[in-house]
Amino acid sequence: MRLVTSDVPALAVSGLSRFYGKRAAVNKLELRVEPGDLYGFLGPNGAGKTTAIRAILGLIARSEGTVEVFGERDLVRQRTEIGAMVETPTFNDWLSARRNLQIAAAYAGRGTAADIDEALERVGLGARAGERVRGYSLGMRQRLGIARALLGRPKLLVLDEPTNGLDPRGMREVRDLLVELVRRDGCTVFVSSHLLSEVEAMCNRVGILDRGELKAEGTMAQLIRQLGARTLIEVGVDDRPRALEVISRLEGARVEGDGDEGRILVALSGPEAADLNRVLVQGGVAVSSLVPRAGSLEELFLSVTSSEPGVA
Amino acid sequence: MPRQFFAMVRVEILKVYTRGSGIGALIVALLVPVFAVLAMHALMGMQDSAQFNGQPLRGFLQFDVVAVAGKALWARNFFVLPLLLFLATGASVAGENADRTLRELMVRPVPRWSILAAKAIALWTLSAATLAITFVGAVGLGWAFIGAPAIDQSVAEGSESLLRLSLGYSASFISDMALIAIGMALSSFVRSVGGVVASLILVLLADRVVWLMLKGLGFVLQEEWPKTAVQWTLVGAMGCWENWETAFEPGQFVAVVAITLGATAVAMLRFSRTDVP
Repeated sequence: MRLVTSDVPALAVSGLSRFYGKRAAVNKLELRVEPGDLYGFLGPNGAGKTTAIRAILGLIARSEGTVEVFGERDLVRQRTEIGAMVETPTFNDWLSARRNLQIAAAYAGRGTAADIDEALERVGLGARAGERVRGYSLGMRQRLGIARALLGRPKLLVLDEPTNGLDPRGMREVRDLLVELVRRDGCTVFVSSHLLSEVEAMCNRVGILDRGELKAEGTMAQLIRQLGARTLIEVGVDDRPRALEVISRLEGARVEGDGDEGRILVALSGPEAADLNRVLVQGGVAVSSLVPRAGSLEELFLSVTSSEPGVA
Repeated sequence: MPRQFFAMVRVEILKVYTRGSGIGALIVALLVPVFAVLAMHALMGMQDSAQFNGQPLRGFLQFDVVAVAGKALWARNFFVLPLLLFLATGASVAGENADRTLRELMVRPVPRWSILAAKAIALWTLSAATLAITFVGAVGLGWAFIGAPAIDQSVAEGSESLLRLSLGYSASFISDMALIAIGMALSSFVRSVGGVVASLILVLLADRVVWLMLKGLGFVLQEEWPKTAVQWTLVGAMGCWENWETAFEPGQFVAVVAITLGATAVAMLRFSRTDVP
């Protein structure tokens, strides 16, 4: 029996592993996606994102672990709440987009003709719904895949790289659509991507997967804090060589490179911006600006993921 | 059974009947009686003049609607239509697995066996439709161009020989069900339509070798058991429709049903455990 209470996570993954021989494509994955989250599942190519999603959806056998969707453990019943798109969506190419959605609606046991039209309109394919999918571009197929996942208004959307093949405008539209689905329709969205900017722009919570293991998880603010007590600051000075010399003598300060408009990018671990300002002034350097820079998801991503190619 | 099962069957029928293999099967089913009637009509015109091995055609060919529809059934089951049915089965399971449209069905809230069941039923309707087209076409055209059922020496009434013919067509449907089940079983192991067809050819070749060996043993040993065993080969069992003119062999029906159930069970078990790409 499904529990319908607000404290039940939309998706709870516990100890999920998938082995191919001795190699773990996904290793003891723990995830918790709360209702209303727009959860970004990040990882470099080959990190195991798609394998994890396929295991979550039951497309491949799980070697270990459990998956609960709104408290439900039964795979078939879980899927009544899920709309999914795995990798590049595929269709019966000789049939029209509308026919393809009718097939999906029949199998889903939900989604009327009006729902199909609405889903097609929502992804901007309403005018071309009668055309055979064979003539669709990659971007149109991607949109149609999202429309299919939206059929019957699922409570949890699981999307694997939904902006693959889309141009910048299309990517923006998909992002806006996902945000709208969460805010307006109360949907929970679990979206995998290797595009950091995309996840940073739309997700409130993020999990970073590398080599099948979850390396970091939390809200964007929590993850940035996980980077350590490190502050990035851009310093505008009149004498750059002298400033670099002074900064190199300050313990806990490190020059990271160039900031915007000729400023120096400094990472502080311990000292604060005021300390940096003081030592520069004391060292005879005139400081024209101190611009704090927020730690970025990219920085976190690079710090927790391996530089070697993935294996999964 | 999921509550949306009939909707699943409906969309599977839509797919089966709009694929090349499905359309091809329907066209062949339509052409078979036309050619059978044309051929019989041509032979009928020369039944007294033409001879075969010194005998006039009239001596060993019957010219009436039942005979024509019987020849049409033989032509229908000879090669092309079973191959098209098999291709339709392969396209429905292995083909969808290869092009990954099967994955899209498997993320829906239905058990895997029900997906296979919906596909099987859709394929059965294709088999039934082709048989119905061939039967109606052969009987209709045969009646018009060849003539009403003749009085049969063994059954006396022409209507009874028509009934027996109908049973032959029905037995063909059972044979098709076995073919579809074998196609599904092979499709659960092989992930391309070409691979499924190649596997079937290998299976049929092996089956034919066993069939020949059993036939040879029966001849050499002069015992009954090799003749009974022959009925359990694919060729033997799936030829259950062939004896419609004389008397059906119950053993062939037992074998064909067992093969259908066995192949279906293999397909279901394998399908329920396979990772989906």
